[in-house]
Parts: sequence; C-alpha cells; structure tokens
Amino acid sequence: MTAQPEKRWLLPLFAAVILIYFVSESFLRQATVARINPAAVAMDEILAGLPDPVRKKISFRITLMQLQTNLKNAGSPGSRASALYALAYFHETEKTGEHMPYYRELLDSYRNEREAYPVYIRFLFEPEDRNEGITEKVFHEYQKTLPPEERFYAWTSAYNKLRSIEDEVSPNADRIARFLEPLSEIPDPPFLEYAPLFAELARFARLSGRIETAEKATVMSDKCSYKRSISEFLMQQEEDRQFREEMENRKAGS
Amino acid sequence: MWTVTGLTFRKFKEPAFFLMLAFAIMTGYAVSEMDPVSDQVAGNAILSHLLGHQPGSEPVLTSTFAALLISMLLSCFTGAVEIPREISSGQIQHWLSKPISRTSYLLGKYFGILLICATFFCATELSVILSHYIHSGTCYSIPLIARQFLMMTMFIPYTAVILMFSCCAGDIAAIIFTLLYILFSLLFNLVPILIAMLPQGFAGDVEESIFILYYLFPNNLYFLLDFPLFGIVSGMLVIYSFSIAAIFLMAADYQFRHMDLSKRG
Repeated sequence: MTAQPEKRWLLPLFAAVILIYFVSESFLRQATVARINPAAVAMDEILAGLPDPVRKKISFRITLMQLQTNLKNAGSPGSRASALYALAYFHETEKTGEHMPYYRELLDSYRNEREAYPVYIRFLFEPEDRNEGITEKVFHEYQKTLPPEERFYAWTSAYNKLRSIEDEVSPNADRIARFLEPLSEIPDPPFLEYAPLFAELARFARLSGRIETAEKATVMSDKCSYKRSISEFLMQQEEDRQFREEMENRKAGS
Repeated sequence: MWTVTGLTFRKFKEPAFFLMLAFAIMTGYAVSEMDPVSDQVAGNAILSHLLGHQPGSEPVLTSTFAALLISMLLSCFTGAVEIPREISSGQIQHWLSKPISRTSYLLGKYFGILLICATFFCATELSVILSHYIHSGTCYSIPLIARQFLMMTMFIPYTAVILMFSCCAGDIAAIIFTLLYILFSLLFNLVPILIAMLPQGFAGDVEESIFILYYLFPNNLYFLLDFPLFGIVSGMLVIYSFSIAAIFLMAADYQFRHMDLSKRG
C-alpha cells in the first residue's frame, strides 16, 4: 500500500526534474552563445570544431544553400547557366542523384550561352542514350559561338576528356583527328596555348593518314608559338576593364 | 542519513586518503601561478570567446581547473567502490537492519562522497591561495576566491553519476564507466554550442541527432564561464547541477531499491 502513493509522486517529480534540466541547459547554452560575436568567428573555425560526420553534413547543407541562393539571385541567362551547372555538378559529385534535372534545364533553356560550355563537355562522348543530344557535331557548332578564352577552355577540356576515355598507349588516332579537325577552321587562334593542341592534331592526323590536315595543323602550331598567352590576355582584359571603370568614375565625378 | 554521511567521510582517516590529500596539496602548489583559463585558451578563436574574461566577473584559474580534475578523479576512485564493497562485505545488511530506508542510505553515501570531493578541492585550493601569497606577497581578492569555490557545483552532478554507476555495476566497472562518461561528456561539450552558432537552417537534421546524445551528458563548459558571482547565470548553473544530480540519484535510487543486496562471494 505504501508503495503506491510513493510511485504516484515519483513520476511527476522525475518529469519536473527533466523539465528543469532542459530549461536550465537551454538558458545556459543561449547565455554561452550570446557571449560570442558571430562576426569575429569564421565559419571554418566553427566547422573545424565539429566531429567529422557532422561537419560533412553541415558543409554539404551550407554549400547547397549557397548554390541555391546563387541560382535564385542569378539575373542574366549567362549567370543562370553558370549557377545551374554549379548546382548540377555539386549534386553529381555528392552523389545525391538530383543532378540531371539541373543539367536538363540548362540544356533546354540556356544551351547557347557561353557559360554553358561545361555541360557540353560533361555529356560529350557519352553513349547515345546518355548524352542528352550532345554529339561531337553539336559541340563543333557550339564552339564557334564562343568568345576566344571560353573557346580555348572548351577545346582543351573536350580534348582532355577524349584522351581520358581513349587507350593511353594506342589511342584511336582517326577519332581524335576527326574530333580536333574543326580547330583548323579557327581563322586566327589568338593564344600561345593553342600550339600544343594543334601539335596534337598534327600528330594524330599524320597517324590516321590525313596529311593535308597534319600539315595545316603544323603551320598553325608554329603560328601560335608567337602569340601571347591566355593569362596575358586575361590580365589585359582586366586592366582594360579597370581603366574603363576609372574613366567612368571620373566622368561621373566631374 | 547523516550518520551514513559521517561514516563515509570518516574514511578520510585511512592512510591512503592522507596520501591522496598530500598529493592534491602538492599539485595545488605546483600549479598555483598558472594564468586563468581564459588566458590559456586565447589561441583558440571559439574557446577564447566562450571562456574569455568578461568585465564585472571573475575568471576561473587554471589551478582551480586542475584542483577540480584531481578531486573528481580521486572521488571517482573512492566513490565508485563505496556501495559495491559494502554489498560484497555484507556491511550494507547491517545498515539496512537499522531504521534507515535505502533512499536515506543512498543519499547519505551521496553527501559523504560529496564531502570528500569538497575536502580534496578545498585543500588544493587553499594550497593554491597560500602558494600565491608566498610567491607574490599578495592575496587573491575575495570575489576571485569565491568564484573558484563556486566550481564545486561541478561535483554535485558528477557525484550522482559515480553513485549511479556504482549501483549498476561492480567497483572496477563503475570506475571505468564513470571515467568513460566524463570523457564522452568532454567530447560533446562544444558541439551543440558550435551548432547554435551556425546561421539558422544550416544544421538541418544533424541538430536533432546531436542533441539526443548531448542531453545525456552534462556540459562542463558552463562551469568554466566567466559570470558575475550573484546573477541569473550562476543561479541557473546551480539549478542545472542539481537537476542533473536529481536525475541520476533517482535512477540510482530506483536501481538500488530493486537490487539484491545479499553478500556476494
């Protein structure tokens, strides 16, 4: 009989103690966090203090939120294309399985933008059922629309991808030469870095019996050796941009 | 209950305890001139913000932190074996033949072990204060000394933890479980605070899973914070300590009341 009354007050007491524990802990935690100036502590420092599995999950969320915000804030078609690709690539590398909708949206709405060239590289040389319509021919047509520096990056990336899927010791010279052949249609390749690309075209063209293409590529390679490098070009562009900005500021000031 | 407390405390007369007390006093002397904890963690951006010195409050000295560790370690070894040894020797039957409930006996043991912790801590702290006076010629201020002794609130929950494990397991197992528990509690201390520092929505579902584990362990960082001696934070800290102690004591009481206390081989 005495056990029953005792048991009756024990559970409410236990519940009350648990509640007091949660309330006091919450108060102390808020008081502790309030002492910290968020601006003085970098996100990296916060993440470094967390256990590895927790850090990876939170880093994933942070990166995803940043990419989604970039997409939301992207105004121009070009910036939307870049943001979509970044989001798709992130999902693909993190193996979430959610990358294809972003790639498809990019190809459906922004395939002609200069910023879309990475998605062409992504699907280039893929089997027919997985290439989303991006064939070598489609790439060749697209690269004509690109400005000089993006054109160079697109060709380099595409060539590197092709070499990675070809056999290292005995690659298919005809396939490589056929793919690189439109390089010769560039009227005046502007960068020094085109030289090795043309040299490779020359080599594979010679191996596959396309002598005329090989000779033309050799001449182009020599011509490119006297051009400025792409980094000089970009630096010049940046200097021009800063100069234009300064002129505009002076005009606005006066 | 207080008789049990007194008899538990009287174990201090044993030579081993005097040796441990001497060790604690010597350690207090050795660490007496160390900087406050807030200065020790200055190199770590987050800890320096958390444990940094606040105007109007007194810092926790590193020597106090050392005194705390030693006291907790010594009390862990002594407290964890109390009840299991009395059960195995049959002495507990002698106690329970008296008009004393199991709960009173348990509480008596709790206060006895708490007193032992406090004695070790006070002895070490007095050694620190005296050593500082001898080395520098000045004495610590009363508020500073009071802040160091406020650290004894840390013993309130941990003594209950020791007692609970000693009711559930044998003496050696109770020591191991208690030490592991303290180690895990140290691992989890910073994590929820770091998650609370993240912008809203960043933590996601990680928050729930972490907090389930976090609530199982007391957060030692709260005891090291600089705060005014008489304020809401110090009041909440005392409530926090007692609530944890109450939870573990209730668990220990439940276990103890349903235990077979017959003499074990």
